This record gives sequence, C-alpha cells and structure tokens, in this order.
Amino acid sequence: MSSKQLESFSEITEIVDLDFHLVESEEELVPYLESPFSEMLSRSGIAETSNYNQTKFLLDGVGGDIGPEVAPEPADIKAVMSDLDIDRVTLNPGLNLNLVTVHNDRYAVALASAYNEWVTESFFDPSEGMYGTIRICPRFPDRAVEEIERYADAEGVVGVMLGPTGFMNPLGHPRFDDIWAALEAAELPLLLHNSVLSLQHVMPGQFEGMNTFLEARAVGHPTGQMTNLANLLVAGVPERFPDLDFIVMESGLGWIPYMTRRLDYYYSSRRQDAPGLTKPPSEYIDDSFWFTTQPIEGADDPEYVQQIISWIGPENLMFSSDYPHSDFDYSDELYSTLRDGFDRDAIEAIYGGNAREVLDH
Amino acid sequence: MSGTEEDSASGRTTHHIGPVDDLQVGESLLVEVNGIEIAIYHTENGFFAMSNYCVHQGGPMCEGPVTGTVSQNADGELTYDSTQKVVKCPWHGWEFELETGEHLSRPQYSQPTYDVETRDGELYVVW
Repeated sequence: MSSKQLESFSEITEIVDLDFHLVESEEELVPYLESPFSEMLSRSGIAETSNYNQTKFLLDGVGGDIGPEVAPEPADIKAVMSDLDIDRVTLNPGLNLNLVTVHNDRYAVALASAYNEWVTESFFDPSEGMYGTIRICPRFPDRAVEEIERYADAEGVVGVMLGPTGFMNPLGHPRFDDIWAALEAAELPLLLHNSVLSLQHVMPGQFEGMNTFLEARAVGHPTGQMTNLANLLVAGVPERFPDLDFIVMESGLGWIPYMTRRLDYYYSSRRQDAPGLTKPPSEYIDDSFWFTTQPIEGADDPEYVQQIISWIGPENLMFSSDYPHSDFDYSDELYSTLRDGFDRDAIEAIYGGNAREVLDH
Repeated sequence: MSGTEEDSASGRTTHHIGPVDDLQVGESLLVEVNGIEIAIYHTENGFFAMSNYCVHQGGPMCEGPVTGTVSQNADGELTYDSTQKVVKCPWHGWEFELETGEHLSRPQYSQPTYDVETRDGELYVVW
C-alpha cells in the first residue's frame, strides 16, 4: 500500500452518506396525492398505517428504526449529520422502500409521485448538505419516465431510487427500457434498494417457510440484488445504456466478488444466453455498477473486509450509514477496518469521492 | 439524580449516585462518574450497572430494552426466563447479560460492568 495513509478518521476531507432514511408516514403524503386518492384518503384516520405491509415479525424492541421519531424535520437531520460527521446526505425513503408491497398499481404509482413532491419540497437543500433521491414505481413505466423528467434538474436530486424486487419480471425485461433511457438522458444514476419486506415478493414460498426477521433480513437484500444484477447483465442493459450508472445498496459486501466471478464463470460456457454482451459480466460491473458499504459483515475481522474490498475495488464502493435503521453503520466503522490496509486515496474515494463523481453531489 | 460525592474504602471507590427511590423497577438511568458514562438498571433482580457505550458501535446502552431470556428445551419448547436479564443495545440490538455484561452469542465481546450498592436509601456505584 502507498505511504499516503490517513492518520485518523477526522482527516477524511468530506463524508458523503449514500443512504440516510427519512421516516415519512402515509398520512403526510395525502396532501400530495393525485386525485382520486387525495379525496379518498383525506378523512382523518384513513391513512395512518406505519407500514403498507402488515407482515408481523417477532421483534422485542429492536429491529426497526433506532428511535420512534428519529429525524422527522430537516433540523433533526442536520443534528444527526453532525453527530455522525456526515457532510452530505443522500435522503432516501423509509416507508416508501416498501412501495412494492402496495397491492394497487395506481395507488403505488401515486404514492411515488406524492413522495417525490413532498421530499423535494420539504427536505432537499444543497446549501445544507441535504441531497436525495426521488422514488419511482415502474408498474406503469411511462409514469416513471414522467417523474424522472420532472425532477431531472430539480435542486438536490442526485439519483432515482427503485426497489428492485417484487415485479413479475426482473429489471432486465424490455418493458423497463424507456426508464433506463430516461435516466441516461437525465444523467441520473439508478439506486437499487430492497427492504426486508420485499423478500416475500422475491421468494414468496421461501418467505413463508423461513419465518423470522433474522432470516428475512439476512437473505432478502442480497438475493434480491443478485437476481436483478444477473438479469440486468444477461439482458444486456449496461451494453445498451452505457452511460447509466447503477448503485446497488444495503446488501453487504462478500456476495459482490462471489457473484461477479460466478457470472463470469457461467458466461464462459453460456455466452449464447447473453448475446447482447460484448465483454464478460465482471467488466460491466466494474464500469457501470457501484455498491454501498452497509451493513459491513465481519467488521471485527479487518482482514476479511480488506480482502473483500480489494476484490470489489475501492473505486466501486460508496459509504452508506443506513441511519436510522437498526443495522446502520456508524460513520467510522468502515474506516476502522480499512485504515491499515488502504491508502488515503482509496478511503477518500469510498467515503465521498466516488459519490461526488457518480451522483453529482 | 446523579451526584459527585465519593468515598474510598478497602481500595474500592464508591460513587454516590442518588436516592434509591428515584429509580423504580423497570427503569434505567444514565450517570457520569469520573468522565465515564454508566447505565444503571433497576430490575426485579436488583440494581445493575454497565458501560453506557456499547462495545459494538457505541450505542447508548441506557436506552436499550431489558428483557428476559428465551431458550429452547430438549423437546423444542420455548421457555422464557424472566429472571435471566438481558439488555439490548438500542442501535443494533446486540444482546448482553445484564449481570455479567457478556454478549449472548459472541463471548469475545463483553460490556464493562460495575457493582451497585444501596445503603440507607442511597445508591452507589463501586469499582
């Protein structure tokens, strides 16, 4: 490694957090809903669900957010940013991570639109370091395209978020192509972020069988991402949309080099299954895919984390806290595992440089 | 309720915290003694104290729920022992035995614990 080592965490120039969650409620979005949903749900008490999906896990006090009302206002977010030493946040949905569980296509699309208006109006403020994503719901791709075009140049919008699981077809299907074209034109990256509850839409049979929060959380995020990563690649999406950047979120680290090599392994013998590709999957992953760091499995084993990150490449990683969810990473957790294995440039890239380059923070 | 009165005896340092009645069963309290944040818990089993700083990522242990212990017997039946107290970090849910500070599943991790004494209706942390 280079002799240009960081002496301490505080030396990092600027920390950009890719994943800071809001704690919005359905009720807050009602005034922003389009007709007829705004009229249908405007009576008091109708839209008070804390979650769209009512799946009940056995949780005894810890498992959701780390506080009941963690950061409901911009001032609260600023306070947490200060506590966590974060200079710029990427604000992402909380409740609307679970949009895939809304069993009404029109209402799900309306909720995404309402969320976007609410969040851009209420929170995004680059002068305060508060950036964020808009949420699209691809059940009607033309509506998703409308949202992308509407917010393409909006202040503070640095990306577009999609829950990649739960659709009849994974994301490589041609029905999504107009969305990818719109993102390319808008020069906005696509952030792929699952939720625990989306597991039941990825693998409904298995979800019924493995019925604990531990299993759902451990398995749901990476399996959803693996499915969509493979599908996007085999369908040739990164070849057809070479300027579209994908950011794969909140699924841990170890599966990334594993899946990269596994895709290359099968591409060696099944090239005819991916005729749209002109190079091995790993090269598309290097060129078009980034991964967020949280939750860091094995943080008490720096040798493991350093090896995995050297295989992924620090240039393809972006720091994320996932605050305020109960598997969030404190800002210096990753640094403490990397400090004696990576030089200043690599750590600076992970903690902010890559984000500033890809998301226009 | 935190106090600064100190007393030394037999090589141990006794730190006055405050009236016992101010901390009811089921409640916890954060105090700072000589610059160390300590979480004090009052359970049916008595008073317990451990470092407020979770060894995992520094979560505030004083805000964590105190529960019993769930285990499974040879017949596969779940049992709940309310006397074996566990405190969970409110941030990531790491679970520690309240009395010993030992992590339930990762014995290489433990929270520093402190003795708690009551005398004449007053609460003391001792080390």
